[in-house]
Amino acid sequence: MSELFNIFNKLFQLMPKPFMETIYMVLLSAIFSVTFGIPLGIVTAISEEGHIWQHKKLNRILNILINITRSLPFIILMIAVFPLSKLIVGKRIGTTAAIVPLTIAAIPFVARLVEGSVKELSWGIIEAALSMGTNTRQLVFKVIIPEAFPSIISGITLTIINLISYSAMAGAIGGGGLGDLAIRFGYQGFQQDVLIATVIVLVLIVQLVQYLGNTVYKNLLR
Amino acid sequence: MIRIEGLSKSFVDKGGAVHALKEINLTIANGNIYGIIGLSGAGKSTLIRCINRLEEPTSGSIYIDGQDVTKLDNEQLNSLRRKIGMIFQHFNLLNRRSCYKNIAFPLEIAGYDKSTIDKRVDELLELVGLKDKKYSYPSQLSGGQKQRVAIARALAAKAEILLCDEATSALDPDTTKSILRLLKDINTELNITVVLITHQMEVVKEICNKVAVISEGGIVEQGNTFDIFSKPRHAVTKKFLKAEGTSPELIGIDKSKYTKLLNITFLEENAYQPIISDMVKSTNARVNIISGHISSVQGKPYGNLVIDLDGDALTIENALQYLKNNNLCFEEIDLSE
Ligand SMILES: Nc1ncnc2c1ncn2[C@@H]1O[C@H](COP(=O)(O)OP(=O)(O)OP(=O)(O)O)[C@@H](O)[C@H]1O
Ligand SMILES: [Mg+2]
Repeated sequence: MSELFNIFNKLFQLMPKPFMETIYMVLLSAIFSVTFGIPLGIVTAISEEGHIWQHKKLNRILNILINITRSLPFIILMIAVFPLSKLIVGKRIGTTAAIVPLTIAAIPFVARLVEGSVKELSWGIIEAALSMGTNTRQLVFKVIIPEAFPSIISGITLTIINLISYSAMAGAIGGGGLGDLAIRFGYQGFQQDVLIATVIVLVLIVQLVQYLGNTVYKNLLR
Repeated sequence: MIRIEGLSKSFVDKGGAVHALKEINLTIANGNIYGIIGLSGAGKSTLIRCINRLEEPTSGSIYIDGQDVTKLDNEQLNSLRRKIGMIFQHFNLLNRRSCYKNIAFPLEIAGYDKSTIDKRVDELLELVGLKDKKYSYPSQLSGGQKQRVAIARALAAKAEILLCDEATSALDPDTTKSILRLLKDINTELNITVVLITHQMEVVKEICNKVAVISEGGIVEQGNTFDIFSKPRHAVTKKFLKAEGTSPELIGIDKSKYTKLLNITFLEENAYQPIISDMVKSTNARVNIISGHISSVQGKPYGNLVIDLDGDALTIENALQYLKNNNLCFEEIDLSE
């Protein structure tokens, strides 16, 4: 009995800080990547040939940029952006510094999902709006974004879940968070209980995010 | 008035060029309900979509109230489009907006203030008979109701022309009728010019006062609906009438069993007279009725009857003369075919 109490006691002392670090990393990188990823995804979608704002060159450049960033494994990207992290947050490693690679990895991910959400809109709806004399700006803000919104919400949910898993990797290079806790105590320190507890907490967070995402999505769809 | 001059449209892709429209000339006067009918792939959608430039014409001009649509820049085009409503086969409502918000959309983008929008939307909901659905979403409406919202939306910014691209093709016959009635009311009460394309004969017969038949990218026949359908000239027009059962199709019938097969067309007054019976009485010809049909275009009756005349040469001669004297149109059906 006191054995179990000891474990809980230990976890209670160990968990809160890395838990908050994870939330902090994920939340901020989600906000930044959504902020940049949504416009990027929309521009990529509408600049494609035959869409409402056809700009073939720009479209090609955006696609190349997105593809390059998407094809880099996160662990390598993390190291590659050290100089940038230093420039932006003044540090190369640490929880705040980890937000830089997380954001950079998530922007093209968000952009691709948003691009997909925009392209799957029925072309008929866009044509109907065009036939009413809607200009490009109105089309984007009054038709495309609102109509694609539920699908974009699904994309954001997926992004957050991915960021949780990436943030655990960021832990490996001094980012702190639950990943760091699992590695230091569970893997290097042979404390299985900590490892298992971390996994459970991570699973619970992912479940919660998915549940919230689904709920919002369902409420948006009518 | 819409005047289309020498309009051509070609689609070019890897497989080569498709000439969807070839040198179309067409004039649609204000206040008309103008039907454009044609088989699948004839170029109907391409034609109607050129009018508001959802499709860019390859060459030719389209004048709307004297202004050449093909020469407008984007901004001018957008303000013109506000005067031309359009409805579609699949309604194309904004799914995340209520009926109210859908109808308000063209008013919002034209920059009207909230109270004007409110008032106008209520008027339109009343017009299309959907006041109780004001706050419903498209997914909660039937097809016919969706099309009503689409019509209200198309007219919201005081459109003067309404383009209908197969607007009733996704609806059942009863709903089709009610939508057509609405279009007709809009035409008469608001004096809106309606241009509609369809592959459904009934639609044209029901509401169009003018019709053009389009085939392989060209207009093959045009004029008053009654004239076109009661005296079809082009093969495609006849095909439509046949498909409807209005025109005789004696496929699989052994014609050698007949003596003199006639296809008689009754128009208007004729359609109410017992002319055949009178002919039999006065000439003693024997009549074998093969098939018959009566129908109406815009309330005017027209019909046809296929009969076989039997008797000696003189009797038949007299019978034919009798029909001629009574102003019946008829043609002999070739027995050898
Ligand atoms: N975007 C396009 N690219 C290439 N060819 C096209 C395109 N749109 C139409 N066409 C071709 O142009 C011709 C006319 O098409 P259109 O859609 O106008 O026919 P339609 O009369 O409306 O037929 P339906 O009754 O089937 O709708 C067809 O041969 C079609 O394949
Ligand atoms: Mg069509």
